[in-house]
Amino acid sequence: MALLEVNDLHVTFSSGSSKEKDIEAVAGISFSIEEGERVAIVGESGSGKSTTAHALINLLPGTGKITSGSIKFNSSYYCENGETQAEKAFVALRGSGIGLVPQDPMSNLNPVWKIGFQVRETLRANGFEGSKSDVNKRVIEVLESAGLENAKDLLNQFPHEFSGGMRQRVLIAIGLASNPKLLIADEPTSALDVTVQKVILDHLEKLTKELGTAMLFITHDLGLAADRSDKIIVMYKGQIVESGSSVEVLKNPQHPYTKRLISAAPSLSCRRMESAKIRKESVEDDQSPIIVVDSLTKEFALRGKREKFKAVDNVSFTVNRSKTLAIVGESGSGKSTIANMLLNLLEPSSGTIQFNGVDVKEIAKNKKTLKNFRRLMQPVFQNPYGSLDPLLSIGSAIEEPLKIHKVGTREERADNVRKLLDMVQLPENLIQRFPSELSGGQRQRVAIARALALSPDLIILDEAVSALDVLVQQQILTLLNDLQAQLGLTYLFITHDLAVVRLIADDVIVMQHGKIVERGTTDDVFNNPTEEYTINLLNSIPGKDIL
Amino acid sequence: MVKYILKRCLQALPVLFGATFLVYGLVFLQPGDPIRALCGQHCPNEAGLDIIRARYNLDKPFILQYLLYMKNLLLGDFGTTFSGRSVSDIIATSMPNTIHLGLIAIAFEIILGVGIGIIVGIRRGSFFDSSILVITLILISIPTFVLGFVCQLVFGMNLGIVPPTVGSSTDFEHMYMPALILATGSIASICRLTRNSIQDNSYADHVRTSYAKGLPRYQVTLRHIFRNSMIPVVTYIGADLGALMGGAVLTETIFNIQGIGNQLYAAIQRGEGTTVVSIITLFVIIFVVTNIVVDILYAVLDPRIRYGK
Repeated sequence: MALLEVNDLHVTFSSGSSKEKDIEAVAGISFSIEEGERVAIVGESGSGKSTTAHALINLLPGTGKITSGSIKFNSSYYCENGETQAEKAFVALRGSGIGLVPQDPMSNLNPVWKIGFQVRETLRANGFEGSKSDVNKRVIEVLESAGLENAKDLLNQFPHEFSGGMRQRVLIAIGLASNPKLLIADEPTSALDVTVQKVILDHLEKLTKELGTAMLFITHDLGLAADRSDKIIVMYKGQIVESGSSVEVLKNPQHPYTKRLISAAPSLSCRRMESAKIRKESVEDDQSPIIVVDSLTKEFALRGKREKFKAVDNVSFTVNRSKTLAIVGESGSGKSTIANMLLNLLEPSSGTIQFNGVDVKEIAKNKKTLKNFRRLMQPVFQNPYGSLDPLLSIGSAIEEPLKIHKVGTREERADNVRKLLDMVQLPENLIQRFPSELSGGQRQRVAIARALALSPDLIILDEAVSALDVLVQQQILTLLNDLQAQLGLTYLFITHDLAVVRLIADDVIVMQHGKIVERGTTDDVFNNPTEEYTINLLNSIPGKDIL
Repeated sequence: MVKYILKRCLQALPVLFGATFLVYGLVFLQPGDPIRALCGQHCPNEAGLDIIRARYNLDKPFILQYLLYMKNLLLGDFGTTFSGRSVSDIIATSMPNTIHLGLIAIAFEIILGVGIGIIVGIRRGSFFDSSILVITLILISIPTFVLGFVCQLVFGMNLGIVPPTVGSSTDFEHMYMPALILATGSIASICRLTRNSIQDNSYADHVRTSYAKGLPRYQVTLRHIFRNSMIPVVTYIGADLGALMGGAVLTETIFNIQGIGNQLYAAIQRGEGTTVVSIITLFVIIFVVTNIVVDILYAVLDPRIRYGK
């Protein structure tokens, strides 16, 4: 008999007003999980996968409510024909019956309580009897089994003193502390670097196998799902469109959505995207590099410490015209610091940057040349939600750089904005709309249009597609690639995602701890990586064997 | 931490000098001759007035007056009033009354402001919640002197429920209405702050995780919602002590409480520079000290904040 049986589950978020329609986030799904089985729910944001997970333990946010269907766990009904059990039953179920490892390690631990306390209260809440020292012994035990060494010394520390990976381990320890029969892992590693991600997932897998815990794995990453589970459930707009064994679903997708998802997923076996448009580079003979960086170093003073922190350490590279150079590395490797120095938003501690053969330091001395320089180099940042002013309409946001640089008359500018929207494949009627009305992908297109407004030579894309769902990500990458061919743009592409690099970059630089550890053409680096770190990075990419 | 406190104390020095200098200057600029006003209609000869002026350093230029005053202040001498009473004596007799009033006011702020704030924070969207929002908005917008006079008239004179003035008796029965009026604006602000803080925290990710751990609702509320929500509230109450001092001048005058605010008001009317500046200096010191205490408290409540590291 199955451990968890979900039958025709419907979850609705009421809008609270009679004018707007209620939103059905989960529209009649049924699935089951056997004891010790590992099931993954895959889907893009808004597909209802997290809502399903929260419905199982009756922790739906806001106005969310189960409207019909049933949930049976461990042969007792927690929800029958849309009637949920009393809160008391769920308090008993949570923690000891179903554990949860939440998504974002940064916000899921209470910042004002010590780590030890937060694990201890979990044990106590789930009926751990015994003296204070017994509890502490068990706390240390669960923390150490989650892979935290010297857990004894960590008990009295606060969450902010931990790195993201360590916090996620604490959350795993909490989720498994009371030996639940089922563990829900809701995107447990999407906020972490790939190498950390791999280590943590490996550990989670080992632990749940040892304990015989069944796992419900929620993710947007098909590769990850395939790597880590026996069964895959694909969700789309609140419904299950496909389910089956992992290999079966990936090798033999039936539903068109799954097929699209699989073909959109960037993987290492992909090649550099070929654009339908003819590349402009053949026309332009100018082969001089657009940017030459020579022994660039950036040091930051640390509070209360004598020695300085070297964020970027003696880095030299060139960016070729009309090509894409990717800088790859994990968080803290110094890649964004380089971007900020190139944009002249941060001053290098030493070393030089040449733009079109002129030292940027010289350019920055004169306000006029600096303004002109800024026009030729434009950034697109990671978070499409944070990089657009919420009070500016889409039209004004794209027009603003033109206004600042006094390009054209009012009518010409309006015309230009329409052309730019067209270029990034957005409808013209967005001009009057505001960022909050747009989806993440649309916002990122607006950010690209804004960067293109001044027809720059170089665009610096700092994790510009990292926050997007795979399908949207693929669309944006295609767009960028077409624009490059069309306009002869040069991209500096900063990312932690190697699979994306494979699709868009001509040359790659791999960074670690502020230093360049490997460089070369994309094909070289991917086919014959020489440095251990690069090999490690490549091996950490989920789904590389299957996709 | 010690280093941080020392630094903050040093930072307080320019504030102290600046504030005293400004107040001294303002009193100096006040029109009229305070000494002449002192004698009323029967004015002695000019020579006699000059002697009194010389005793209070009023014959000297402004800057010198200020410097002489500050010298005495640093030596611990707050100066004397025109009637010959030492200012420290005035402070010593009137300060306890003000402290008494302030403590009752803060007690009201905590009990009513935080208490009601917690209730409406948990029962957000209820009828009670909406009514409290409207009531607090009205209370915030009524000035203390209007509320003071109206309450004095209605509850003190017409209904006779509470004594209309305080005078020399400073027991709770006499003090609670003035204290409540002094605290009204703050009670309303704290109530709203507590409510919003609790609501924000209720939606925090870690609160959901706490439920998922299997904690019962009351434990989640006490440990993970209240504790986090109190951080901004405590800061506000601490910073509000200074505002209470200012408000005390009005409340004490309306209800005739023999406190420091009343003395300050009288001194301003008499044009007694030394007394005014001394009391203001005291206010500044209290303000600076409470601010430092609040900052330390803030670090105790929120472990993410560690000063001077």
